[in-house]
Amino acid sequence: MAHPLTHAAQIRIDLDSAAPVNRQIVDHLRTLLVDGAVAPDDILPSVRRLAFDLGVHFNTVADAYRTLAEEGWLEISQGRGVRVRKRRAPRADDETLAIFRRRLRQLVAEMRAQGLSPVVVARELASLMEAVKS
Amino acid sequence: MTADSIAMFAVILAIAVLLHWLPLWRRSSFWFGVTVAPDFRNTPEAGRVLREYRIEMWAVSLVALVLLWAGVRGGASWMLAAGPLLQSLGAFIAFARGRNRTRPYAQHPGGVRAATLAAASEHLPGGAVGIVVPYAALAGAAIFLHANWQRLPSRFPIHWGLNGTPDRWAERDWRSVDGPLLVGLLVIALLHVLGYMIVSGSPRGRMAEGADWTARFRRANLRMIVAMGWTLAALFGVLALNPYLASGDELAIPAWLMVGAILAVTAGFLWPVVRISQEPGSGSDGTPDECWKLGQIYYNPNDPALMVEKRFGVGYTINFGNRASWLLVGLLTLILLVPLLF
Repeated sequence: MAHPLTHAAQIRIDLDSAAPVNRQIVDHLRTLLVDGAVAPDDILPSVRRLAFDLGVHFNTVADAYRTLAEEGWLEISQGRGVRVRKRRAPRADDETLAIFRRRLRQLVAEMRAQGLSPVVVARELASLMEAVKS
Repeated sequence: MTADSIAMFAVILAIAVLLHWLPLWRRSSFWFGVTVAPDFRNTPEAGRVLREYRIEMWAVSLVALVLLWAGVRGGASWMLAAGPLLQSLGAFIAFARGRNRTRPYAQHPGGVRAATLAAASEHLPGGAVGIVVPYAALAGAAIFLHANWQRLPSRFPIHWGLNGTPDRWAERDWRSVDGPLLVGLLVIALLHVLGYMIVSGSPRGRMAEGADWTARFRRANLRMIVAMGWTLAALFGVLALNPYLASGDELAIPAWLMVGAILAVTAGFLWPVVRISQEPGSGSDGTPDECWKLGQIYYNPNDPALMVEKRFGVGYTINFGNRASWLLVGLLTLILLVPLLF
């Protein structure tokens, strides 16, 4: 049965960031979905509500919700709001793995360029790996 | 000097006292509507800005009192109206000048915004009962008056001075009998529309650090709106029933008691809002400083919100950059003009 979220899950964006806001909403919401902070059958705020709360245009939120709906995470229905769907992860192919490696390397390089030591980067990756396993 | 003019002097003085403290009822990241460091309030610069604002505001209030005095002495009614108008305009300008003096200490509020994903729908406090009771009370009074139509005097007073002396009368017809109830209905409906605009058209909080503060501030404001609806229903109901309840031209319930009751309810429900607004750690409201014209008028076409928290005074204000807000303001103005048609 669908139920509105009552816990304090929050979405964050940075208006000063170079990344487009709709991309940021997609990325943050997807992280919450993958982590289980937002579960199947949870009801998310309407496009209007989230746009009011973040102070961004309705279309920006609508775009983000549409992207996640296309990925199979959300079900958007007129009048019933935005519901989180049960989603079975698709089988990843070699290209997906290649994209993952490339992005990970780019991110590590970017963080090292900003001053993070290899030790800290390795520790964070190990911590992330533990979280993924559990 | 009449009781009415004494009351007008008292109102101007009371507003001046309110304006004296008003700049301190704000989120912790603001000083005169400008985003500053949270500890800026304790600096000598902040003290100077506040002091200069207060000097200007009291000076203009003093001029307003002199105008009022001259109006009372000379019988010039335009002076009676000019006093309060000058005071409001003067305080507005004094705040805008305070804002300009604060701007050199402005800080970038940061671009991080956070919103809760809770989708539970929000309502006015008290639910359906909180909204329906005032209308039911007015309807009940109307039914009672029409059921006892023949017992109402054929001519009765409809306006009184503050000393309780009537100064306007009307014949018994639907306008004079139902008039106070219809005006009450419109005013209460207006309050509820504003409450609904806050619930459904204002942000529930855009900054993670002040989320709890925002929720409590919002709730306290909405509680005040519902309470005012009940109070006004009681006031207009009593006024409408007066021809039936009163003997002769007297008011059944003295004017001072009615005014006192309204002030007591307003103060009782405003006090929690004021207390919350003074708490530390409330941070910013997530609206850009540059969209606050003169520090008090919010104009941001890129913000979909219909209403946002005020930066001068407590409560909410309209986003004048949103066309939907203008439509609503136009509609509300039309509703307020309806009584003039009768």
